[in-house]
Order: sequence, then C-alpha cells, then structure tokens
Amino acid sequence: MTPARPYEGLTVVEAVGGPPASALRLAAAMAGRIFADLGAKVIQVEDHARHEADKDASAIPDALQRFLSARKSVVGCNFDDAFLAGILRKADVAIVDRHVHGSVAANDLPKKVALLSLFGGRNAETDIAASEFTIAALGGFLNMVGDAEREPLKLVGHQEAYALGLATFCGLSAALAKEPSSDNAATIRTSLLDIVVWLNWKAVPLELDAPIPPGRAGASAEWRIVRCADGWIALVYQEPDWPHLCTMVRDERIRQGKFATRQGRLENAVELAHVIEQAFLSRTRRQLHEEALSFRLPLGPVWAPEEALDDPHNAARTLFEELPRSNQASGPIFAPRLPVLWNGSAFSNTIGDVPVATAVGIS
Amino acid sequence: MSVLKGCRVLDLGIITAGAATSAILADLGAEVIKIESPTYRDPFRLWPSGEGKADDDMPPLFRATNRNKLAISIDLKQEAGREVMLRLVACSDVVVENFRRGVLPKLGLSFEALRAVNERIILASVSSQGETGPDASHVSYGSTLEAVAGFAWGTGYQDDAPVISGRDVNYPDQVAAIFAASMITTALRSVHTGGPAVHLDLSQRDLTSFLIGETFVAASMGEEIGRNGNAQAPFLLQDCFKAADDIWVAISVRDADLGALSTLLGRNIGQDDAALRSALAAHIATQDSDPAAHTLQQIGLAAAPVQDGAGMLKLADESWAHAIQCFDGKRVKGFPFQIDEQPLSIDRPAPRIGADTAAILSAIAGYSADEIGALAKAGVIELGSA
Repeated sequence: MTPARPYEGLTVVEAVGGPPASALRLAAAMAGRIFADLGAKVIQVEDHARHEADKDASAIPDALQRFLSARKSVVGCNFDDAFLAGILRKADVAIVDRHVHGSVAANDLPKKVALLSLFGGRNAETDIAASEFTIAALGGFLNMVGDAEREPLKLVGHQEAYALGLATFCGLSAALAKEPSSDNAATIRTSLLDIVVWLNWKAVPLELDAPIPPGRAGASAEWRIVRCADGWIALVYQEPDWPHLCTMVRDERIRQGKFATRQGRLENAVELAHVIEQAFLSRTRRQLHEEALSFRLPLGPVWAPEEALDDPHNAARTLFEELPRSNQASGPIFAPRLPVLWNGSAFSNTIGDVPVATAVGIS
Repeated sequence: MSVLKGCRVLDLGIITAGAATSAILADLGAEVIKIESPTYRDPFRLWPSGEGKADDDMPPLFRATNRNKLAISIDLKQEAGREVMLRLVACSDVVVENFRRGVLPKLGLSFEALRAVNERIILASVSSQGETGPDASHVSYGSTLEAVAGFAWGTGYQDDAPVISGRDVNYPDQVAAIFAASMITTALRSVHTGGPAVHLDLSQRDLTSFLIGETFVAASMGEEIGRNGNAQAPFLLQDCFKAADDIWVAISVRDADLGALSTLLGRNIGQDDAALRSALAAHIATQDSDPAAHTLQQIGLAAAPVQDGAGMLKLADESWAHAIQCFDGKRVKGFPFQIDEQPLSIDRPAPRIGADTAAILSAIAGYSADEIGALAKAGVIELGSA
C-alpha cells in the first residue's frame, strides 16, 4: 500500500536556465523529482528563449528525462516573460537559479525558495564557465578517484548534480517541516562546489597544522577492486575483519609477516591484492558473496546494472518499478523507486509517465 | 530561530552515515543527544584519521561529524538502561540509528516498542542494505554498496576494471546522510500535520542505485552500459590533461566551444576526438595548470585545475561558502546548504563520552539526583565529564 504522500497539495516550480542536462538543471530536476514522488504537484519550466540560443546542444537523453521528470508537468516559456512570474506567484516552493531569482520581483516568489548556483562565496553571482566535471576538479573529488599514475577519474553519472539536488530538497524539506508553506520566508542557498567540498570533507586536513591527506592511490589503495572468476569484487575491510579475510582467502601467502599489521598491508598493498586476486580467480562473484556473508566481511560483488535489475535482494525490496511502455519501446523499462520505505511501504507507482507538456501552466 | 528548534533527536548513529544525518539535524537547530554506552563507543572515536595525535576520545573524524550534539552514555543491554532509553523516547521526536540489522529489536527497542511509548515518534533506520531482503544482514561500507548497486560498474577507465570511490571518499556514506536527513524532516512534517508514527527504512544500497537511475532506464531500453572514463554526453570531449607543473586540468568541451578553441589554438579544430584531444594536450602541457585553465575559461570553456585538500581550502570564501566550518580553532564538517533567514550554525563542540548524562536525565527524563547516582553505581549509565 502506498502511504499518504507528505507533500500532497503543495505546488513546486523548477525554473533553472542553461543547456539541457546542465548541472543546475539536473540538480533542480532531482529535487523536483523527490517532491513529485512525495505528492507535490511539480512544474518544470523550460526556458524557450535559451533553447533557441542552445539549439546546437544535444537534447536531454531520453533515459535521463524519464528518470527525472516523471509525474511532472513541463511548461515552456521565455524566462523574461511575465508568464514565469505568474507561475511562480501561484507556487508554494520555487527552485531557481540566480538569473530567475534576480529577474522576478520578490513578491512574485513563493515564501520557500531554493537558489542554486555553480559556485558559492564571492563567486556565487559570477558567470564562470563550469561543468559538473570541472567543479569536481575544484572540489578535490577528481583527485580522490582512479590511479595515481593516470588521469583523475569521475564517478559514474551525474553525482555532483544529484547530490546538489538532494541538498536542495533537504533544505526545503527542513523549511517545510514544522509549518505550512505560506508562513515564514526561507531562502535555501546551495552551490555545486559547496556540495562537492562537503562530500569530500575527508580530503581536507581537519587539524590546522596537519598534512594534506593523500589523493587517489589506485592499485595501492587499501580498498580496491580485484578480479574473480566471472568479474570483479570490491575488496573492502576494516582492521577487525583481517583474520576473517585471511580465512576466506584460503592462501597461506596472506599470513606472511609483512601483511600482519595494517601498516605492513598498506606498504605492500599491490602484492597483497595480487595474492587475494589469485585466490578469488577460482571463485565466482556469487560464491564470494555467499562466503563474505558467512564470514561477515564487507566485500561486494560488482554487479552490472542488468544484473542488479534481477538481483534477489533488489527484487525482495521491489527497488525497481516498471515504467509504462512508450510506443517505441520493445520491452519493459525499469527505474529505481524513491529509496525509502515508509512504515514498510514504498511510494510506489511514482515513476512512470513521460513528462506531460502543459500549455497553460497552473490554474 | 532555527528551523528545527524545539525538535529533539536521539542519535544512535555511528561512523559517518548515521552520525552525519543527526549532525545535519543539529545544524538545523534540533537538540541532538548522542547515545553511546559504557561498553560500546562510536567507532569513529577510534578511527585512524592519518592526522597524527588523536585527542583521546575526540579524534578529528569524530569531532567533525558530532559537533553540535549533547552526549549521554546508557548501557542499553541492561533492562534498566532500556527503561531509561524509553523514557527519553517518550519525550523526543526522532530516533536515528545505523546499527547492524536486528540489533535494535534485540535490545527491546524495535519500532513497535518505541511507538508504544510515543505514538508520534519517527525512527530513521539508516542501514547499508535495508531492513528486508536476503542481503539485509550483510556487513557493508559505502564502497561495498557501490559494487552491489551497479554504481562501480559504470565508474572506471574505458575498457578497464570498475573503480570504487574507496575509503577516503566512501561516497554512498556521504550522500546517505543528506537523503536521510531530508526524509526525517519530511516525516516531521507528516507527524506535525497529524500523521502517525513513522519508521523510515533508508537503505544506502537503494540510494546508490537511485543515484544512477537513468542507467537502469537505459539498460532496460537495451543500451549497453560500460565504463567511459571521463567522457559524458553532451560534451564533445571531457577529460583531464596534465599541465607543465604536473597538475591535471579538467576540461569539458561542447560543440559550441570549437570556434573559440580554434582561435585560441591557432588551428582549425574539428569534431575529430583524437585531433581535439591531441591539440588540447599539447596546449596545456606547455603551461602551468592555473594559467592554462584561466585561458580556457576566458574563451568560455569549462576548465579547472584538479585540486587537492590544500587547493580546496584556498577556494574557501571565494568559490565555496559553508561546506567546511571552523569551530574552536579546528576544522569540522560544515553544511550542505545554508538558509538565509534561519542560518545553520555550530554552537558547541563534539561531546566527550556521556558528558551530558546527568543533565539530560535530570532535565529531560525527570530523574532525581539519587536515581541518577544509583543508575551510575549499577553501571547502567556513565557520567562523563564535559
């Protein structure tokens, strides 16, 4: 049974400019998607004037649009028109960028506003060109992932923008927690670079005189990926896990003195990973997963998305829901539901409809 | 006034995901009481940080994620300790926990037990793999979940092995705290408007899959999902190039940038990936990273040097505002967002073990000084020093 939706009756407007799939638009779309799942009426306003200017830019990929914009209404207008102010005036919550925030009269904005920017601080109002990738560089994220000898590596997908979307939703939900939307004003400010630095807080020395923490270690990392018979497994463990890992590996070389202490393991990380990999090459991911469960070890088989879709754990939790089929689709299309169970129930059927183009906005 | 002022949170959260969830609520003005035990500490109190001297039970990682909280120490394995806990639950709004699955019910503190003493309580179970499912009891850290969630599969160099964010980022742990805090504030709204008690089952594994949601849509539409290094639509080219000072420069090139880029490089750059890559690599290799990135920014290209921790700090106030804060002369984790009218703030340092036990039991749970003394003598509670 789907629980009562907490934001039923609330109208949320997303009005963020920029090219399709740009960071702030994706962030706003993620925040709006969560509001929509939780019952709000969400209107995604597209800047038609900007679209004309960016006609060379690729359209937002179909999969991204289906994932982020389901259950929303999509309205096109020129952001400079009075039409946008009219839509915002009737909303309870607005998610906007600084251009919209600056161009709409304050009394046309709802009481709860999230103001998104690429940069915070003194550069919050500047037009420095940036992407999720270059913000990940400035926030030290790229410095943490990949091989030390090779180029820094981004995480899959749109993690920076989505994390900003989560933060945007978090700020707005906090402002709405104890009062109706029409009460006190709340302006939530968050920037893409702030959220990356927040996520990457362990890269900064917390003691003022401490050395700078090291960056990506690649093959020398304490936690890393190793091969097994049918793919890869994430080698993740803490100090108390070491004796159990030795037992699970079943190769006496792991008990050599040089691996006995954490310091020794760090100094010989490449050799240690090789020993473990050799032992795991005769076992499948599923076998290793079962063994890890029995030894209470935090190892993780690397599942491909297609495998995750069929994984028994995800099936038991009904993590994936089928979208209604479009005319072009030849088979069922799945996407993850909102990742919360509320008194044991999912906000089910939350994904589905392809966004509805609405000509006249809200009434 | 802070947005969550008047809200009380009992924080059984440990390490990052649980403790950071409660930290966000504390920054929003909630009264957060960290609950440890005479026999069980938050492992972050012992977690090596690589920053040398730890300050007894206050190493940097613990200090950074537990500022703004009060602390109480109760032995929840004792029946008398459970009674103390339930007395606190009766006058609280939220309980946050990220123990192994099954631990809380085993302590006699299941959601049903909490709801029996407080029909408006919110229990946030921030777990690795959720309350249910065959892997629910699987011990995991953030990078374990990157692997099983389909996330690691898509991270990595082209035609090479998958990659995890690793121990120093542990990405799912970080985002889990933001999402969990937001679901708690959503549940507060629900309860505030007359809804029943809420048990939130917040699985980091589910969240990690959710954050690559479009990948599952694409996979089920028949698209082959692989690893593409730093390449990403809609960019013609996106990658890092090493500058003369050995610092990498990250660049995202759109179709629309080609004209200005051709002018800058003095040659006609087409859409051919190899030619573009080669021209940019040669251009950047002759300059230091800062001027190289600056020159590219000047023509409207997204470009930036890859910063380490020192570089991140140099950008404070100029390009980011609230992500890291200083308190008592030391850095702590800051805020993922800020609210103009009701600012998030850090008002107290992280607490020592049980620092506020006596004050909390007296002021909130109504125990007398004699009762508190007896509980301490019996080892049910621990009276720490501030």
